[in-house]
Amino acid sequence: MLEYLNAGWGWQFAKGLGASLFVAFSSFLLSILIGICCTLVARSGFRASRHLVNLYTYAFRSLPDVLLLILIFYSLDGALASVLQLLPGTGQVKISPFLPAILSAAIVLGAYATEVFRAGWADIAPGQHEAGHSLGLSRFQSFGLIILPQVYHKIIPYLGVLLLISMKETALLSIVGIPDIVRTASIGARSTGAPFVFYGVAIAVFVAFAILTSALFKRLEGRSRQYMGGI
Amino acid sequence: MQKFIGYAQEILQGLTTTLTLFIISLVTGFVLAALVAAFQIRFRGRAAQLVWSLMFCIRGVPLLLILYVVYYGFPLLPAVRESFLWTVFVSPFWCAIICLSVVEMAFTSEIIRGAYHQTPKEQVEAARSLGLTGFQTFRVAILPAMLRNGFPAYTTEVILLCKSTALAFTITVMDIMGYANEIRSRTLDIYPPLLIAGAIYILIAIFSRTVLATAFSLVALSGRKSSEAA
Repeated sequence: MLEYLNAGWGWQFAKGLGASLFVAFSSFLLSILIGICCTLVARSGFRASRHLVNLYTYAFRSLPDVLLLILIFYSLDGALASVLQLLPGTGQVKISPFLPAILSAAIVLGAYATEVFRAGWADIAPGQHEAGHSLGLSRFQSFGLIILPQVYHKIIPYLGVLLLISMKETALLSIVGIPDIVRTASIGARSTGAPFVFYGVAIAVFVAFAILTSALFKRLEGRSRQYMGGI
Repeated sequence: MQKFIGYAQEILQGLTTTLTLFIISLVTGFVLAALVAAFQIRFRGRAAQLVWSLMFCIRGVPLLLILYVVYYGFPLLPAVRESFLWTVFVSPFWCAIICLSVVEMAFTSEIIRGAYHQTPKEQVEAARSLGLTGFQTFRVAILPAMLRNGFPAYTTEVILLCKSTALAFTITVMDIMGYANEIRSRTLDIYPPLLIAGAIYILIAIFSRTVLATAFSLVALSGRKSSEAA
């Protein structure tokens, strides 16, 4: 194994891991943002907006993620170019292949995040908003200080699952040619003829990430329980 | 319009493959999961811990990586190359079924286990105190509760499996996604083939949801009746 490390594969793997982690965390954060926004939209009181959010979560929980990735990966360039043509004075832009990858993962994960946030939001008493109001907090303050912490407390375990899924989702990057962990492993396996060393390392990386994530979120859950009391 | 119909017809050639992948791995995965969950419930201690850890690891690894290991890695093992296993691992279709079943097993076993442990203890004790045997207790007191508790999570899991079958095209299985991607790379037409394929996947998901909900309402009702009768 050490000989492969010396032959430069260690560095390749480190770069692949960096790419995977970057995409995983960006799409995770973006999906949480989508989840919160969609929940707010769905709870805004307009019936149409609720149906729209339902449609979004239903469609993107049924659509294969690899299909969406390929769709966005091959069409984003053209779509962006045709938008930019409308604006005079902008030259050619070349977008990084990471952008479609993050975008497609965030859209799919956003559908899950929306479901998670809506479920966490559902059993918060409507009186809480009024309580915040009567304390003189603004809408934004009561949202950030009263509602979100309670939602967070309820959905911590699901956030852990979401982070794990977003890491697993990065394996798809290898399909569109970004050198992530899986692609590095399969290139290594093919070119050195030692598939199990390379695939083994890739599997170990993912398992380690899963263990770390589950430990981290268990800790966060414990801390939040201490902080929130017996809610 | 003619073009669209042509694309749709070509993509629909993959429908059988996708459905076979989906249904075979769904059934195999469920049977394996039930065995694994039963093992974990029956034998607590070190062995169950070990099985749980193995399932945890499988759940943490992306399906794509498992597909690569099984399809590109296993045939290089001498033990596989020199036995009847060669015919299995050389076929991308069977490799995909093996991988999907294993992943499905890992997720579903946890759902079954969770559903079992959510069953109220009092319910089991009540059935026991009525003099029911172990199997009768399971049938009357535990199984209906497990169905009710596990149903939503299992539906999500089935839909996830349906989505996951699309990854089989990466190891050259020609399913719906495979045909759609083939058309895309041949004609450089991006939206029509992929959107048609997406619509087919969504239809399959809607159909599976309906079937599951119907099956559940039938089973759950009969479960409630029998527990009321008991």
